[in-house]
Amino acid sequence: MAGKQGNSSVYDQVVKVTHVYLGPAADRFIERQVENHLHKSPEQLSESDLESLIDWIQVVVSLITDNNEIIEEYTAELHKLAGTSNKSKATS
Amino acid sequence: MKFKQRLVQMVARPMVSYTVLSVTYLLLILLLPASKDSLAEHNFSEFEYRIVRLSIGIIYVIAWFAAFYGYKKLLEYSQLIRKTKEGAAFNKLAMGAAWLAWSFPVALIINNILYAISYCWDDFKPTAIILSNYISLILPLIGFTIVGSAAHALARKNRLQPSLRGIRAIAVLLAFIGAAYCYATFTHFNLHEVGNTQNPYHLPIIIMLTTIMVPYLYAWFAGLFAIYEISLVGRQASGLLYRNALMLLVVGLGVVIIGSIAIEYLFSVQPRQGYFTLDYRLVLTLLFRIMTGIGFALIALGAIRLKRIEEV
Repeated sequence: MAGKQGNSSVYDQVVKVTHVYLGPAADRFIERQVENHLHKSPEQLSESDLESLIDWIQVVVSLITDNNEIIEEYTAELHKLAGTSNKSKATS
Repeated sequence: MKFKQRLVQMVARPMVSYTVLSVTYLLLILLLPASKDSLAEHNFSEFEYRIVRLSIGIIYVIAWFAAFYGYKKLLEYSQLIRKTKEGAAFNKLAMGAAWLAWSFPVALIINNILYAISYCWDDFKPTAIILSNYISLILPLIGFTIVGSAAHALARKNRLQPSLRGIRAIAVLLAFIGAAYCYATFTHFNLHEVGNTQNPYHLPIIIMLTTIMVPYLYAWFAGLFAIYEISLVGRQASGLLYRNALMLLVVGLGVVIIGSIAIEYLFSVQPRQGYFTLDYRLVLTLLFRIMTGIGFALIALGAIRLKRIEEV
């Protein structure tokens, strides 16, 4: 919920991708990862944090499932997001 | 208030309650007087009677373990998500599962005590059978009702409506089950004497119909409708990993409800004799108890996976 306030577009995009895999738990899951591993509040999540967040997510999701295909697909989607974000950052 | 608090504490400590109930049940098998009818029917010595009952009792106790562990995990998951929009519905679902888990040992322990009294005091046998029929009805009836309202709440939270096709399918299924149940039960009655209690249920037909048969039909409807609504939630849930975990829980709940209905059906159609017998009914009861145990194990597995998503 916190991610819906303030400068939260990166957070929202990460939650949107995560929703495909974790459904209603996506928002809570990403909020926890940002707070516990990046030591930031969801509103503070920026594009520069994405790579580090993806690394953490990869580790954490492997605790939820053994299915490597799903983990790879999920992290690839997040990497795409990071790529898009980086491009838009470069353009701006 | 104190009683209510104690009850909540007991439900919140499933494994302690399980241990107490299991030990009580196994001790009762060893300590309560043996049925003379059982000993005569199977040519058992008292020692053989207790060994056979203990062997079957151990299978029950293993199935109860799965039941208590399953609702424990579901309760833990519901506590983790209590502040979310689905938290209350999952908590209710855990409570319903708890009722179903408790209903197996509680009914069996009370029935064993009632029958043991009737072994010592013949005149008590009709009362024992009547009470055991009501106890076996009431506990799962409450469980199915709570599970049903939890499933409905979850479906509403996810904005899911039961389809007309689905409702019709349940109606047809229930009509078949109900008709077969009424037919099989009525064969034990003399339909020309409405007030007669000379039947295996020791109840006049009108009382049997209104206080046992109708509540059973309602309970089975609630159970089947709960399976339908919760399967809607499971199938429509978003999130691949979340849905896989939820489906384990949904399938487990379905298996538990079907297994419970099957046991109730069996004991309603083939009335209780008031003593232990080794027959096809015992074999079927064991199979259905194992089935409900597997169902609860699936619930536990689903809840563990859902919990992990919320914890990591």
